[in-house]
Amino acid sequence: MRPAGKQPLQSLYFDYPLFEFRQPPELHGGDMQHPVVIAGAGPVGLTAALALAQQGVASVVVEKKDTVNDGSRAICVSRHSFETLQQLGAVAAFLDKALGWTRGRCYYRDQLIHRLEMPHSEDERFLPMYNIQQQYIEQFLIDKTADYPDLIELRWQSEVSELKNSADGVSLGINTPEGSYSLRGNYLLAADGARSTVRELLGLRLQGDNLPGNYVIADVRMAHEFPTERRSFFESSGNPDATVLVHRQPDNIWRVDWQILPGDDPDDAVRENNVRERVAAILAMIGHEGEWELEWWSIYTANTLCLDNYRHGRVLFIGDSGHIVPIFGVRGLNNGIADAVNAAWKLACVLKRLAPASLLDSYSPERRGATIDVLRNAGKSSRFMTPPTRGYALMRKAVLELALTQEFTRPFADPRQVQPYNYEDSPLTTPEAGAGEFTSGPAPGAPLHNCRLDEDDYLLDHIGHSFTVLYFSIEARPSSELAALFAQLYQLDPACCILRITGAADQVNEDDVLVDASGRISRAYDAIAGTVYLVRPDRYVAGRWKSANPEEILAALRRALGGSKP
Amino acid sequence: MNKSLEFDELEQVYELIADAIDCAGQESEVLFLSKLCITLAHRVGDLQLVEDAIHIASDGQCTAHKAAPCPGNEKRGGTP
Repeated sequence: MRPAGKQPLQSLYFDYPLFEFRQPPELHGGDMQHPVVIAGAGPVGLTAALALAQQGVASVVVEKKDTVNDGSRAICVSRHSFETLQQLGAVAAFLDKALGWTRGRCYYRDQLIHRLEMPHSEDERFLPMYNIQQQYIEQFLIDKTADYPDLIELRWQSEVSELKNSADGVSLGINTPEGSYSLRGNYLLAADGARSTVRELLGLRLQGDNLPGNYVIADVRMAHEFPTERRSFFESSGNPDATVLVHRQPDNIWRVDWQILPGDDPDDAVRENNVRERVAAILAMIGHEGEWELEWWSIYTANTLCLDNYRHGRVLFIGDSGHIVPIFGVRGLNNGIADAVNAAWKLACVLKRLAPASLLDSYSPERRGATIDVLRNAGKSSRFMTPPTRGYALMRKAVLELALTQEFTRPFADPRQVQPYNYEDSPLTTPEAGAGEFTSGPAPGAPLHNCRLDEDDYLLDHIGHSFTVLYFSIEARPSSELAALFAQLYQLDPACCILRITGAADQVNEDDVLVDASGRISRAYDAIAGTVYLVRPDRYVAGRWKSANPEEILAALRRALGGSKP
Repeated sequence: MNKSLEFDELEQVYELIADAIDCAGQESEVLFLSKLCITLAHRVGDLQLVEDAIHIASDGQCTAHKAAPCPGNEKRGGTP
């Protein structure tokens, strides 16, 4: 929503682009089966299109809107997502615009009770979290699709109206300003959001708990001096009855969120005069005395819902179409991006005939597992942020009051921010053969850790787009046994990146060699000469061996490609 | 298992809590008791003991919270 007198997309700081409708060949009788159709050009659908294109797989993205998202909405992008954006070659624009942060402050009755510190170290290229408006996220991803004119086709003003999901492909009815046509694809990625048309057309319903709790989110523009931190206020003088959150965004935009009380009418709460009154009280509470302008506002409900299965034949649900999670902990967008890359590399391997279609069976357990984990954490956060009953409200008050003087209840105020999910139990993950051989480093199923090598040079800068093998060796030439293994790995995945990590500093001129003169990576990965990590295209460890065992490594790659267990 | 209080100590606790409830006043007595419970639980340092105590004090009536499922279709937002 926008203030009275403003046009729907009339923003104080963002010029909404208008994406023209262009007639696709299908509208003139053209009949083709596209490798992948993606419903929805939000951050999740666009990430999937870019991840597929990077693997050489073409997609058609259909979007009913003619511009990017109205309003800032999802504004927090995690480090793990930034690492994904880096891998997609799209991170530069985000780094230029986004505001990074590592800290937060929690207040109770206007007194500071908790200082949030997100995990960070000099081994990280990216900060734990970045704030950036969703329309920039979408704009930057759309800009990046221009790098793939032959692989990504964005079809704006194109609405999905029908869907046939059959054994050999999908067929969608598409409505456009210039008529309807039928769009066929081998697979469909449903990235069409919380109110997914694809979900509805398949007759599927989200299942789970609908936690009570409505929030108003409002953006204001103001010159306000405060570091980029997450500020949360319980029982503040600006809004004594309900929780308030304040976040800084680029362009002097500030996000102010507050809870709507259970008895209050949500329609009333989002009326402009009520929004202005509440914002004014909150800004006075945080000490802002200058001018401010109201930019945009909306309402959301803290839900915990998901589909029972994220894959239905040739349709894979990615992002909010498959799961709706509470906003506390920034898991909606970030998990949607993780869904997109998970689905994309698997689809690419299947479409390039590197893997059987059964590889796609792993999508739902891996990503639904991530959702369940999110729901567990976010459910706790939600019950704290918006206590569902008198009992929860009372206990929250008890721990917050104690937190004024006692350390032990302060962690209750911690927002439990998103952490990448672990695929330890995935059928694609090969467990360690010798338990206890490794004492540190990412275990099978965990995402790779970054590691600083030099000024502006980090381990993840060198990771490939498909599978990556990290092997630790000071020998310039691999043994004949390893050379034979690498040849077989290239056969299984021609785009495989084999990266040798050596302590010897005299081999700096090879692309596939990383010089770890200080031994920093070796220590972080608990590696000795001969250690191998097999890494999936989404940067998760598929298996690791203290001493390379060619047969096991080959079997692990087959397994990660959806083959049966060795 | 921690040592139980001797009866004369328990009698002292009885009066201490009674006085503290009166001191908190009717408005705040429930909040005071909640704070007391969570502080005691923290000090006891044994989840099973606390669970047992909740069971005893509620006459075994109260079990773990379970929210009822219901459909949702609301708008999305995005601040942590």
